[in-house]
Amino acid sequence: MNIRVLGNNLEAWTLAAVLASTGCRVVIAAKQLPDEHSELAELDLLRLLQKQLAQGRLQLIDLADTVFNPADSCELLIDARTNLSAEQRFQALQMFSDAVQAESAIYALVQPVAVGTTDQLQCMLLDACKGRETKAQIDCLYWPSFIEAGRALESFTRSGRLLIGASRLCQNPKTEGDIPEGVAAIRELMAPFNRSKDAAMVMSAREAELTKIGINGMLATRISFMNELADIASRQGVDIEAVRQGIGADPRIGHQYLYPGCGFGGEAFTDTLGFLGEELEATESAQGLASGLLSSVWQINEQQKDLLFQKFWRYFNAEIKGRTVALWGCAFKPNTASIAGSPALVLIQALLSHGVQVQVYDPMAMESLKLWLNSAQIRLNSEQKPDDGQVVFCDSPEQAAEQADAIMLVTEWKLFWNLNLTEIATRMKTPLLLDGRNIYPPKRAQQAGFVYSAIGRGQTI
Amino acid sequence: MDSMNKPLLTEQPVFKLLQEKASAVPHLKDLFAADSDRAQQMLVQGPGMLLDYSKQRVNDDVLSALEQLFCQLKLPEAIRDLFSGEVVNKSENRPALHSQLRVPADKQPQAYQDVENQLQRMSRLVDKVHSGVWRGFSGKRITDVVNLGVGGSDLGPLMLTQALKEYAAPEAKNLRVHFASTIDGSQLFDLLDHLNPETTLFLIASKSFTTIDTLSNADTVRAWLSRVCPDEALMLRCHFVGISTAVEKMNQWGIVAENQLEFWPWVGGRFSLWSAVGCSIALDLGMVTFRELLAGAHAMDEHFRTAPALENIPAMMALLGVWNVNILDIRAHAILPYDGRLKYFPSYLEQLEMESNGKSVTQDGQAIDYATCPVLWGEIGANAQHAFYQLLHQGTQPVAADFILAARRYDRSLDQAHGEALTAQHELNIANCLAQSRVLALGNAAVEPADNPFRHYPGNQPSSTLLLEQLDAYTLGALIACYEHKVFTQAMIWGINPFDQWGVELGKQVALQLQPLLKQSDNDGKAGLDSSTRLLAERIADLRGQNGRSGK
Repeated sequence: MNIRVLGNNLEAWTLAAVLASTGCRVVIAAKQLPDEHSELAELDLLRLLQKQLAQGRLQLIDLADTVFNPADSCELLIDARTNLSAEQRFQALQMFSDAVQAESAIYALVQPVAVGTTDQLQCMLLDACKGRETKAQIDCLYWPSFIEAGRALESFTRSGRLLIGASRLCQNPKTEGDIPEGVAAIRELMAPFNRSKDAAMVMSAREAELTKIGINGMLATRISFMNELADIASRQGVDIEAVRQGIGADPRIGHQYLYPGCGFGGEAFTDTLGFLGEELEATESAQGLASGLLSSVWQINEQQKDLLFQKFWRYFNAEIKGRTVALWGCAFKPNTASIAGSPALVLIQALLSHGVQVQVYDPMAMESLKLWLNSAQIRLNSEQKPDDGQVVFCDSPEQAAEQADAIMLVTEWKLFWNLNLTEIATRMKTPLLLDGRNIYPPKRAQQAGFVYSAIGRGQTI
Repeated sequence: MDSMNKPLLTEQPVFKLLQEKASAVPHLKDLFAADSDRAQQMLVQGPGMLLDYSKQRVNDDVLSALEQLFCQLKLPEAIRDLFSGEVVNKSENRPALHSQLRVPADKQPQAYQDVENQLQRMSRLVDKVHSGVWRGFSGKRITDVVNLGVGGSDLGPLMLTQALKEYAAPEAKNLRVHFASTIDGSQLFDLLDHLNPETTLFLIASKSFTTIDTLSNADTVRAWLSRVCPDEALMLRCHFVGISTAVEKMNQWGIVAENQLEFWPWVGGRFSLWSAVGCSIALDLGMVTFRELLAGAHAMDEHFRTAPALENIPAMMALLGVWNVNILDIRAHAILPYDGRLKYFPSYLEQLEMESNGKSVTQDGQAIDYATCPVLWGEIGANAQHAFYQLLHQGTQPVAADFILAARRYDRSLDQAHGEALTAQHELNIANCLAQSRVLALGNAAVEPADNPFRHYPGNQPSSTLLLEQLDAYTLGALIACYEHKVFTQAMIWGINPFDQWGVELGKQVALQLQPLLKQSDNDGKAGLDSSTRLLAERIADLRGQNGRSGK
């Protein structure tokens, strides 16, 4: 199959690499492959991309996302772009429709989108085609990718499920079982990863869209719930870690996504909560829903992101100006260079605004952080302009902790788990360890000489 | 000595002239019948608004006599003195330069650079709170602000934040701003019940920083906070901002230097919302809106300073007020905004007008023999129709009125589902406003005459209508400045000082004397009191279980 992928993000590159590796010819608009310093750098993915490029099945073109070459005779357009309105997406869809050579083709959305987006695009396409001689019938589908940052290839090829939502307005002749042709084509395309047991679920596009954001919303809810529980635990002097294991042992609940922490980030989660919020706001009786469950989930998460700063503030009785903080990790989760929605961003802004120096170490995400610091996204109090020296990028966690008044552990990189804490503690000005991911046993940290406070465990600060 | 005093209003030759002309002014219905162009000639345009005074009981003769009065009493000179910083507040020996607070930064003379400096300080504070940089003692962001102030430190900001809610900046929308003023602590009692001490910031606004109402509220708050934050220095640093002219008093109370916003003795309390006293406004609505407010007021300052009397909205309102009070003997004035957003505007004006001009001696201390400020009160017009309009239409008191109306409303809600319905309500509101002023003026003549005595409407109640283009920060700033200048103009005509308030001092002193007496269980200390006060004090002590008895 000839495929064109839109977007320059983890989902777009993963889909492009994997589908090319199954023998498809894939075109993606980019000047070059992501390099190992980019946010998308996952080594196995980069290797696969390089291989597909070398073999010619993956082709990079230096064109805009809305430009299509009829000679590519593309049959499937995968739209992996984020944060676009239906109108913006439609520009590409319409150009695609004009360029299609075959009798039928597919347009597939793979990112979380507002409910109704797929139908809306199909409808816009039908309207645009009215009274015009069109060569191709295009099915608009919603095909969520379930790609997780940090383990992109694996999460896509071994997701164990295949969700396909078809717009109710699909025009192509239905195959048996009233399933649109486009859906059948995606099932065939994914057959290499869907062998042992057919995991395909076919539903309407709206159902699939709501399923996707529902999944993310549920996971977010579990985390925020655990954070609220951790808050109670810290006030009651209870170790949340024991509680977490106990809760997870209940088979109706399970262990996944029960980790309390200093806040989740990532585009998937934040976009999803955004879409859900919009859905709720668009409901007729919107008043009162602002105080509903999801807005609480969101608010709790925002508070969590600030929690380590609050502990720092309390520990030093608000006398924090001129102090130094070591920030361990700034990626929103391990194995990614992405800092989207990371608690580190909230902490850095708060710390810089109060005249605190920040010494950062992250194995992958420091380039992303540099870009962010230089961009306009960072908003500080007008009195406190970030000067060059206020954020120092370090080569190791030990270097970051040197002469610091506190360590804030934000990302649970494996690298941080078995460090020599005793030695690190002696090299700090104040041995205060604020663990946002609960990775150290409190006793071990205390024996190493630290005042240790985590999320619902360790010393209450 | 007497010869040095300025002549009283009633001694002015033109005052006699005005009195003579009064009897020649016919009923309003006849004035309108006689001249179909009356309204066109009685319209004044000002910044963001126009004044229609055609429903006032005046004719061309009266107007030219009022203009003479304006000139004979040297109002142009008085206005010049006001703006140039002359000592217009003689009893307190200082200028009244609230208009200086509204001069745009690039036109502010060097001598008043501190005005812009304080605005910038305030702006930084507001920004810190909005952006979440300001933290409570436990490190949490501020979610609530309570303004502790009374009179000028309360009424203006309260009125404005109510009126302009829809213009709140996005960054201000998550912050809740509350007001507590009453000396009995009632408002605080309600607020402290649901506020979180960790995330609440208190503004203590008092020109002298000795106002007992405000400081007793502040002390209660301090006790409330110290329960959860025993570290007093931390509590003071994170939860209290002081706004005052008295830096030393703020220091004594414990306001840290970084949390002090200053204004100056030459800003009267009831003219102070333009200074740092407006901090609660900026926190609630954003600094941009606050600056627009200043810009609107400045535009009105320029209008007042430069327009000739008969084309000058504040001057005309003042002259017509004097005509009504001193010539037509109308001693009541109703403020009737046809706009729910202006709910607190009448109470704001009650202070501005009655505290300023409720005086009976001249600037030189000479007793006067004529009426000054009328009793002024009001309510949202459409609601007042169901309350006191009966008295306006058929009672025995002559009452003058100001109708206030915004022409445009709900422009930004048109695409909402209920936008049309709201627009229809606005049209109904306009119709009511115009109908009421019409009936007050014309009486029976507004409709078909009837024989039923209960349906007799005498009419001839004078009113003005202030028509705003729309109600926003700019026009509301201009509207407030307009009334300030009206008050000043009237004070100059009456020969009184609008900037002092000696009348409110005595009650405060007596209350301070009484308070310890009320605490004493024996009655010896109360012996010198009048029998009414003594009896009430005893009964209160009985009911509260003092005087050695147990209360039930």
